[in-house]
Amino acid sequence: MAKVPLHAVHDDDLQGVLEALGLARAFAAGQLRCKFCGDVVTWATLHAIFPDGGEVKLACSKPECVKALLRYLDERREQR
Amino acid sequence: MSEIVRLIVVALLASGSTLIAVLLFIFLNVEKAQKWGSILLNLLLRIGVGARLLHKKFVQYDIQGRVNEFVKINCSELPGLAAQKVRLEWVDSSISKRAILEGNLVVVRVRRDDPKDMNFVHAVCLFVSKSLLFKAKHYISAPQGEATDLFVSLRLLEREKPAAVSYFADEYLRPVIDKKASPTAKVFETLHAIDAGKLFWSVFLQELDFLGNKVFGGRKDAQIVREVEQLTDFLVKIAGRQVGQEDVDLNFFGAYCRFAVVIVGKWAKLSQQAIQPYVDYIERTLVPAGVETIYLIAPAKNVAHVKKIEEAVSDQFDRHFEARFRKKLKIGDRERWADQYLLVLRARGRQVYLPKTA
Repeated sequence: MAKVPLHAVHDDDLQGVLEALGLARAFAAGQLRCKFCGDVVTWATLHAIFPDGGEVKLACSKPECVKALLRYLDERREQR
Repeated sequence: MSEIVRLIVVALLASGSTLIAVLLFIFLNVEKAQKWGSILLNLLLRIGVGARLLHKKFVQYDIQGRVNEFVKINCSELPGLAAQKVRLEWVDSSISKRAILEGNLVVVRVRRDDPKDMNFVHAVCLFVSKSLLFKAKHYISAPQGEATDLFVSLRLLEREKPAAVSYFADEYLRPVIDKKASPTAKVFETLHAIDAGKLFWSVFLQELDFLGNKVFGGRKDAQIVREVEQLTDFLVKIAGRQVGQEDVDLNFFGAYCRFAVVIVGKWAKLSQQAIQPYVDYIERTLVPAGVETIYLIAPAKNVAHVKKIEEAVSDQFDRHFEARFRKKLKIGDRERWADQYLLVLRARGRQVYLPKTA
């Protein structure tokens, strides 16, 4: 039976992942914003990391942004 | 787990091969083993044993075990659709930007401090969104897709993690349902009515899956969306049908979904004329009308008759799947639970490609 992979990063590995993606410095400086609401993403609010237009983007944990991410993924799948 | 395997496990236990029996049980019930593993790990975490090391394993087993068990159970009702399970893959500092971009990876954060079970809810919503009706979503409207995702996520959480329903209801469901006029709320209400008649999994999702497997020569979004609306309205009427009620149309002959629900329930008809009236109806009415799918529904006591009908039309229809379930039947003012049997037949040579002019 086929399995759908869900990729996840644990809190313990989050700093390492941000460093590996070259985002750690900008993130610490409060320069990275949620793709959907435009607010600065912080440790408290980071929800997801995803590709968009050749860049790695972030989504925050506001319920409307979590849902916007799901809709965005649906739309992107539609376009592919 | 089949009866034969159960007997093997019992025989191994009886013969003293406990370890082999346990290993065999785990091999055959990975989902259950992972669920129990997650409960054990959660207990250890609560008493402070190996908090750092075990939390990732707990989250992984918790999500995989519960989601996959739900899929496994519903697979028996819907083999074509739910044939996907989830696999949680951890991303760590070895990841690269290139891997994210080229692999098109969406990485969701798992929080160590998670009193509301947000980790589980987010994983379920992402999984359902990624896997359910993958093909049909090309054609149905956004509210139809969103409502279906919400409905399945709710059912999954209710069954596998009731404690997480509250967070899901507050953050995902209520904002949509409270807007009574929103298209998603309307579709959700309709799906709820279809589910009450036990037709959600077996007919609605199945028809959307069949729809998704068709190839359209020209995009006909508006037409398909309208037909899916008609499909849900049709199923609501059947779901609310009373036993013996004959003024409810059981055939849906749309441009893209063409199916019939045949209830093999009348004992008097079966005892006097056996299966012939049903076979005649299929051959003389449904086949000329171009039916693609027949849902034969019967009380469990009529299973043998349903199988004879299947045999009689086997030159034109193939078995798609069968299921046994319990359904609340409306008899006059009363309702009672009854064991039911469902057999789904698919017409051979049905149209897969629909040209632009169709």
